[in-house]
Amino acid sequence: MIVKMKYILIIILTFILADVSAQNSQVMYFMNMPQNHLLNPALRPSNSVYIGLPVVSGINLNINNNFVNFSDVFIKGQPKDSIISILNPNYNVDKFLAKIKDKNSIEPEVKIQLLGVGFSVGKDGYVFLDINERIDGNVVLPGDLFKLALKGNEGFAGSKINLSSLRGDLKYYREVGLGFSRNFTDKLRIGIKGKLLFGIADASIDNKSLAITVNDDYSHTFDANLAVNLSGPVNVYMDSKHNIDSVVFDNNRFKSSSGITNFFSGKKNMGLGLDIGATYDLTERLVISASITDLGYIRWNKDITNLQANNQFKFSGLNMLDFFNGTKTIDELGKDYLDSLKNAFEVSKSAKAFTTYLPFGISVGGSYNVTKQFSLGLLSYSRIIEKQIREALTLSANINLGNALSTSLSYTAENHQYDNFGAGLAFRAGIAQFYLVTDRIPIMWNRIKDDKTNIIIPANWNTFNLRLGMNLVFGNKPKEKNDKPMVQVE
Amino acid sequence: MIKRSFLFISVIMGLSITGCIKDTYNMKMLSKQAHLSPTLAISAVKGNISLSDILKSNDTVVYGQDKFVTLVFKEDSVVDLKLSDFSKGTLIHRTAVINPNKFDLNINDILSHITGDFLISNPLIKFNYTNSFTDSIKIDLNVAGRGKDKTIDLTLAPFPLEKPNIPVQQEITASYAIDKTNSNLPLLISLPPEVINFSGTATMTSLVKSSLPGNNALGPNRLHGSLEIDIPLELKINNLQFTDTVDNFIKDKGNGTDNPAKPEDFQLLRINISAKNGFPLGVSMKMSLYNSSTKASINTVNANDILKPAPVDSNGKATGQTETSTSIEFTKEFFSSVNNADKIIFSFTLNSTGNGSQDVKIYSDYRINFNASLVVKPDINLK
Repeated sequence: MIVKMKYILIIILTFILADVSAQNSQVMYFMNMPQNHLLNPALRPSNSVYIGLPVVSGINLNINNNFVNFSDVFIKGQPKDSIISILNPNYNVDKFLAKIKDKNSIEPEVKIQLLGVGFSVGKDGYVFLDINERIDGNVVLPGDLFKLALKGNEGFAGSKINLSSLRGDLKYYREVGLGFSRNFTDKLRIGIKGKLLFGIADASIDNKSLAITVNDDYSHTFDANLAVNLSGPVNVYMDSKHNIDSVVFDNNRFKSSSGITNFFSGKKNMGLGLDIGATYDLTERLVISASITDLGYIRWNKDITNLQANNQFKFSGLNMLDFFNGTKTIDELGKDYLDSLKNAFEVSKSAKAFTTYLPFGISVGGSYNVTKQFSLGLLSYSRIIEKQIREALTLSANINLGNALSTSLSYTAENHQYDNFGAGLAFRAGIAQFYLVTDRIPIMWNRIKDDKTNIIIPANWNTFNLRLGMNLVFGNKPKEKNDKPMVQVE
Repeated sequence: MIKRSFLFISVIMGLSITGCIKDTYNMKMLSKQAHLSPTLAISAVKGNISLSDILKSNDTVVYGQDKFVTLVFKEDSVVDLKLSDFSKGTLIHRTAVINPNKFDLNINDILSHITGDFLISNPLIKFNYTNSFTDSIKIDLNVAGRGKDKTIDLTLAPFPLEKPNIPVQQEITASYAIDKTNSNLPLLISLPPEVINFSGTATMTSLVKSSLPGNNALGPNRLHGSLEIDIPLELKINNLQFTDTVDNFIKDKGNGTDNPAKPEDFQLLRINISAKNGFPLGVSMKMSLYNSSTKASINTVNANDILKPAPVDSNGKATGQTETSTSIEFTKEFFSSVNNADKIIFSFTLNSTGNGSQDVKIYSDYRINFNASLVVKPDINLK
């Protein structure tokens, strides 16, 4: 059991240590699936009705980072076949740090579709309703933080340890979306989805500035202006000197069903979201499309804790004049130093509502129908997280046999990674449609083994993206072109 | 349809299979070592300090109007003679004995650690007295300084005392100066002496040959004297060493101690010292790990010129500050040999400007501006 757990941890680590990208199931964009309206609300499946069953209709998992890989953490050492970790004294830390960027991101994302319904309305309208549980995280670790941890502060003499890019936001919320799309002209189709957002828990860092200047004489100037905002079942206790004494998870509210319901309802942390998109048929074969998804915010009002640090502090060593002239003893000087150091990190606590914004995506794509069933697609997807932009460009070949079978093979070029082959498959057995989509299939593998286990993991899996689920689909019979509506609406 | 699905899955699987195994990681071969060794640097101490900041003027340390520093030691009642004490000799030349006494400077502990050349250039002993005898009195003072391993005599010739001008003056208060012009005083003071022993005689010469000496029979005459040793800090120092041996406080004491840091936990400890020295004195340091069983130094750390002396003018007064930057580095080899030593020997070497070739003067407003930082590279074992 322990061995299994170890390898589960390795696999999780691998996923976490994959390079960040903007991948968001782009493979799905040109497939004939109900879920592709999540990428562009103007897109609709060929079936007239779909029902997504709770949980099983869709699970989407993305875990990304942009700075380190499994093979960076564990490397081959000497003697041959021995393995050393990043914490081994023989590990070349400089080589590792050379790969570290100024901004190093970790972005976990989980989306579970609790309910999905879509149905045709009128001649070409399509209405869809989604309820999704979402966990979105994005953490940016400044490169200087790694240098500081692994190499210390000596190398920063005469410069600044810049931690101003430190950022973090981990939010758990529920999204209830109601959307509609229709053709506005023969060629233009527009879709829009409004979303009510119910925030359940959030922890975020609002970092206006955070830096440590290390002078040549190793005196330090600390400059901090940041806030940590929490909305969740935690209690933060402060001591009399305005330092954090303890952080305690509030178990009590989960001892009753009403408490649990109250917590997971998220009614007091409301927000709004919007997806908007369009497709335009340039020719019979060439279709272009664009969308903006996940524009929105959540106003957090419940269980709020704001921890604010706004300090400037210089430490330049104990002033021995006080000792020599007898004003203070060495013990008193040391105590003063520790007190001043603590005061440098003095934190004030409050409970003010705060707002977080969703990372949003911009998709711009085009597809060329080589035949009725086969198309080539090109999709640009940009994900904007505060001041950071992730960009991915996906080229795909798509086969759509009605909604009986929809497949896609893709190649994605994104942040310095060019070996991202993805694939998607959706097939229907009766009214049940199954799908599995991933933006990246690893080409190179590493084998991890010991006495009892022998598994392979991606050698350079720079993102982990998986979307899978099952829909109930109705109205699957494709309309003939010469079909005429029974009732002509003027 | 199902067939097509399997076909597609086969393609996916094929892509994966055709992807090759890049490396095999045999986790049985994973090294258990887990260490973290960041190099941490922090400014430790600083100061901009003059002598007067740390030592206020008092009876012993005296700052002159020009801020020149003089050390003053006083001994009262060195001489206290009455007429009855002049009992020896002839009627014309009567002699009194100045009882042997000693002046203990209480510096024997310091002196036991000092070697090297040291010269106080212009010391002064003042014999301050009050005399009511009307006959002439001459003092023959025997003064000897006893240093760590030798004794130096003052070699002071007998000197006369002033007498009161009767009848307008009943007693006179005066002083006799003993300095380098009339004695070996600079050598005696520069021993430096642990104890100054003194004794001697006072000889009274009467002008009138009678059974009673002159007018002294008229009243209760007395001679009362004290010594004041003035040591102006005008000096020369050439390789004056202060050496002290202490128990090895860095050594790992083993079980039972709650000190979490062990010597072997450090790869490097460096002390960076930068200073602007306004004193005409330079300091070097040496630290040796010593095994008293084998009587051998195991490892020595040298820190030459922690402070370099300030330049001086022709009068010996400092004319500016001398900047120095020194690193005292304790390597992993040092820390690995710490546990083989039971003692640590510290040795400080002082030199005045010009390595003792000229006199330098110490003023209370000389300043030293220093900053010491610590650079530590711990070896943190995370296993």
